Amino acid sequence: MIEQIREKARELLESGELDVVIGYAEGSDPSRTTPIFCRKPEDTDKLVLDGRCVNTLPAYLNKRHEYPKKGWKKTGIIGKGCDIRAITQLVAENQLKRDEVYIFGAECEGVVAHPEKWDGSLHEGNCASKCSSCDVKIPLDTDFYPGEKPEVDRSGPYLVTAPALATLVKMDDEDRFAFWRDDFDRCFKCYACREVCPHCSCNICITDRTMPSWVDQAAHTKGVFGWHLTRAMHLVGRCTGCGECTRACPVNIQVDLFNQKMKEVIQESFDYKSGYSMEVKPPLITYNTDDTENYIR
Amino acid sequence: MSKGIIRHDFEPKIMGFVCKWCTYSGADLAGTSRMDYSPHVRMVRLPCSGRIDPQFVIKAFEQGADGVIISGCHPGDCHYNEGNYYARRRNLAFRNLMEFNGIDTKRLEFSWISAAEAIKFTQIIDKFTNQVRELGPNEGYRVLLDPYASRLVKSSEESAA
Amino acid sequence: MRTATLQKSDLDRVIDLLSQADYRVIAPQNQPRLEGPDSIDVATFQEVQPGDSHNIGEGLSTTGIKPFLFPKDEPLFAYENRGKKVVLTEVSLDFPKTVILGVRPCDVASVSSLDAVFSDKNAGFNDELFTKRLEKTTFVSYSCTEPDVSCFCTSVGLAPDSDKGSDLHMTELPDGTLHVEVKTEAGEKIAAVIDSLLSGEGDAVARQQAGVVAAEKITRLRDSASLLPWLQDLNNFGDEMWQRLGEKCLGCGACTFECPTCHCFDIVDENSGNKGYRVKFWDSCQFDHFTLHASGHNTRNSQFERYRNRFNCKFKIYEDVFGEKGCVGCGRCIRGCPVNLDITEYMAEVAQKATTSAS
Repeated sequence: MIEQIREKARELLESGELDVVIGYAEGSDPSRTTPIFCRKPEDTDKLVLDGRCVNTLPAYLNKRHEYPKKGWKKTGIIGKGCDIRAITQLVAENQLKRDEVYIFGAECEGVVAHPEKWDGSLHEGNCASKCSSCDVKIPLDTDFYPGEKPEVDRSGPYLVTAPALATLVKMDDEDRFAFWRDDFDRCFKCYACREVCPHCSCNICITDRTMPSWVDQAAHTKGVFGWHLTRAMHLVGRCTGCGECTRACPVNIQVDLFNQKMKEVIQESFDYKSGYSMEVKPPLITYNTDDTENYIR
Repeated sequence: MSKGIIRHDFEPKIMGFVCKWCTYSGADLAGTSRMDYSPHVRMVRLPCSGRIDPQFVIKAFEQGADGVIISGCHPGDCHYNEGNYYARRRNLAFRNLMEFNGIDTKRLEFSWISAAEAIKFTQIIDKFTNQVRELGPNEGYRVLLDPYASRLVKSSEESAA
Repeated sequence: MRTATLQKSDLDRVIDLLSQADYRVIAPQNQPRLEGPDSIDVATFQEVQPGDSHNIGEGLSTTGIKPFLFPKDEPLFAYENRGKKVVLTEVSLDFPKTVILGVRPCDVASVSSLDAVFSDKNAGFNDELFTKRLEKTTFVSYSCTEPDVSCFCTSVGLAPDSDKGSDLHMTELPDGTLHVEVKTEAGEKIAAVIDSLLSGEGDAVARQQAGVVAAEKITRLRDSASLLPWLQDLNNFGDEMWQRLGEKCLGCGACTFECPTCHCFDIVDENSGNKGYRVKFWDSCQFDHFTLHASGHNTRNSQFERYRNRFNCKFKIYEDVFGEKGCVGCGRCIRGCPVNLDITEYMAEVAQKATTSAS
């Protein structure tokens, strides 16, 4: 499969139709892969695609990381199902134009939960939890797919995959607050969660603005809570569930539990799954005159 | 006729984020009609409930509020046509987020109060204030309010002042 | 100075005795894990009480000992506006007597890099928030026996059994005992406290051997001798290598915060009404607003420029200003980078370019 992608990518780079192809290449050790920007046709020989490819490459396509602004004609990008979902959502939010990208898709069997857990192959013991309920193993929208792309029924609801969520929801409010306070104690505000997210696209993040300072920048508990709540709120209805925020966290705080919970709320209240349509607008920027208001007096 | 003043051990600090066309006017009407209601609420007037950013609420809790109330025009009556529809959706999500974080949702109140509903305003404020009073201070956040109190030493100016 | 043998199983007793001698004891501990495949073991240094679990001698902690000398957030003073006056309240510089157990050689060597910046040894400002903590801290280091694929301490002049900066050094021997070496007076005091657990004179030969065996396991070897001259040639500042290797950097800051020698910080005033704190907290040169001027001009406007700065800071600026490398080869930046940006890849490229231009 990857050979066909390499061939097609080489062809399109040679013909000049694509300026660059963003994909995965071998990393610094056998358990890791790293993003690669192929500009010369020979570079495509380095492309790989397997269970170690955890990165969400569309993070390079959002405005925060400059890449689309550099005057590139068309960007080729290799995507797993969840990555392509992120691209679809970026298009739905007008952060990207669909004709600015050329998507190479392939069937995905899942990715490893964390590079540390890679032991030579992907299996149930090290597969990420997001893969267990994935309905985009055959990606949704591609410009190139090796072979025939079968039809898949993706009408099912969003399912929470993190086992820890169920435990947290059963706790008392006070216990849950104490849990988050202790868990966030090791956060030092590196913002890896923000930078790997394909949807965190503000040129200047609200937490970097100091006049006025809405989110405390220091890494005390108040500042850490402020940051994570803000991020969760700004991603409501937009997060496509790639799980990169948790994977990238240097101290392995499961920050995407907030995002998964909010996705569940959005599914229940508005019957919306982000990343499946380029036309349907995310729920928080639209409304219905008969929305539920069972919590309002 | 004023109610008797009862002093309690703990008097909550309540923040109110209200829209100026409906709820604020309703509160004004309560005032001009000399209605009594709990004085614990501090009101912030905004042009529309759709302007209310969850940041305001997070900041309010960070700065020591024990309860927050958000109020606007009834759906269909928004001065800007649709602001309160967006607010309704946003606050639904935000409420769930606060609950997931472990903040008691009884400390967060949402209501539609029109400019004529002065009585409803006083009733909601009274009820909410009593509710928060029973819940007690927002201990979780109170502790975070002053993160460095234990690191300070007495300054010479302070002891001289 | 004194050498002795300690049983590895006595480490719990060591914590007990040090606690009783009024030391605040810090040791690496595994953080609680949530259920599910997405959580991994994360070890961080924490204050431990007698009876607490620890994992001294197992793996490498994610954050090292930097937070105990240079905390991730810290107040400088409190202020309050009272009418026409501003009242300042100082913070206490009275830090507790502390001993940190199980510090890896790379981490303990990094203390001198931090000291170079925060003390006045190099005609700088004497930052008491650092120096007063350092005065009260004793380092009990622990040699590595199982370096992993990302470790490269031998390429920057250190070794898995290095005791640079240590007060009391322990090396695990193949027979399960620890060879203990007292290195400084502070180490003598620790040895005196745990004297009842120490026996004999240790095994210096086995200790040397253990170091050799561990160093042989390091596979990431880079030539660092070529770095300084190449970097000092400013024509190389615009080399194409910087953009090619640094393009994928996302600018998160994970590398700088996990790094034992990175020390950049920011200072803000956190207000609450008419009073507040002036707070000092970790900042990163990888953040996009790090070099943003008030005029709006940003001297390092793109990500590869920022990573170029990081590389230069560790391998050139430190040498120029302090006469030592700013990198201890712990490999945390490689493990922690979300896009697997590899600082040793830069080292290898420079070595290659230096040889081709020399030949």
